[in-house]
Amino acid sequence: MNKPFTYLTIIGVVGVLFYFSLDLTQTGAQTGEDSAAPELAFDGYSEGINTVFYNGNGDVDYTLRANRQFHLKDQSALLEEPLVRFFENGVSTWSIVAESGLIGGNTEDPARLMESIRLSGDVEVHRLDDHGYYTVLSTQLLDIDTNREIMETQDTVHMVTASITHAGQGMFADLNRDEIHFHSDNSGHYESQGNYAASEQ
Amino acid sequence: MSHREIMLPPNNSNAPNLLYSIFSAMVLFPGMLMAAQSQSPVNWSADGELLVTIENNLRILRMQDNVRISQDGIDISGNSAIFEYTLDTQELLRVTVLGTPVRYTQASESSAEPVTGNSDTLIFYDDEFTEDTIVEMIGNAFIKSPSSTMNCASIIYVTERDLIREAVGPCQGALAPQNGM
Repeated sequence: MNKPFTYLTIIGVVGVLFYFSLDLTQTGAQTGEDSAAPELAFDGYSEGINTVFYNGNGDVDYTLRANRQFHLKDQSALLEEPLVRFFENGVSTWSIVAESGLIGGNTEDPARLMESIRLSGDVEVHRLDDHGYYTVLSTQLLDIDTNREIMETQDTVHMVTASITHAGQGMFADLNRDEIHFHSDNSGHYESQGNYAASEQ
Repeated sequence: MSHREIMLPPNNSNAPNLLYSIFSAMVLFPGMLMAAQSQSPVNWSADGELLVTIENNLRILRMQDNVRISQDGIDISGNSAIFEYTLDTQELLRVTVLGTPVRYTQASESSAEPVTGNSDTLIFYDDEFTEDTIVEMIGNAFIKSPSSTMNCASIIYVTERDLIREAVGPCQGALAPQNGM
């Protein structure tokens, strides 16, 4: 066997071994990533929480209830079945329920940690007006800024009132001003309450 | 906003046709078009933003971009629309549609040809007393029914009766050929 052929063979074998070793390393790394279950390290746990937040005048601003709360090490908190209720002049205005919530999870500003709540899973926003009619907004993901009393989502939102059924893609709502912006792809339906009552009879 | 009866210039050659058209619409076709029943459900869609506000004891819905509205056999399309609802009864008071132009189509039971129209602004609501569905076409108003066509500055049209109740001139109109004119 001549020398050039031997050298070429050695270089080829080394190349193949290097290629497969690299591939195995990457596969191992990927496997490692996949196998790392998303563990949430918490350092506090409570059940049946009911927190009342006051504004500068000492009036109730909003309340926060949850069946369970996990305080995470990054200072955020996970909530199970949260209920957020906003108040105006001592009267409950907007109520928001969801399957779960994350306080402070989408802000890095420690001062605003408690002002940011991300709700997910069958989120429902209820508003009872002065005439006794409900407005209900429902979506799957909703960010609330409790300080500015605004809420926002990019998900589909359904709105139901006594006579209106509406759906839109994305929403921004200012709870203080009773304003709701649906961003796009809007469609809806109006039916007179008179007709509805007649059809029920 | 004020409206008055159609006042055509004496030398306007379309005057007899136009008056006859209105008369025939009033007499011959009452109730023959597919009625937009009072309090019937109203559907809408819009590609762009929709804003819900409370103003002056009304719930206001403002929508824009490719707005489409339908009620029974009526279809309306435009650039933007405003829906006004009472807060105490949640009833729809009025819908205002703006467009370049607003297009109006109403299916007809008596004819394969629908009633069509367009204008700069269109307002529709239920008449307080008769509960008829009223369509106000304002600015470059045009309406074409199986029996006639009409151009005016503005037109108030009763959908259930195929009746032009009021119009603001200057107006021009014509009867359809099947009326023997």
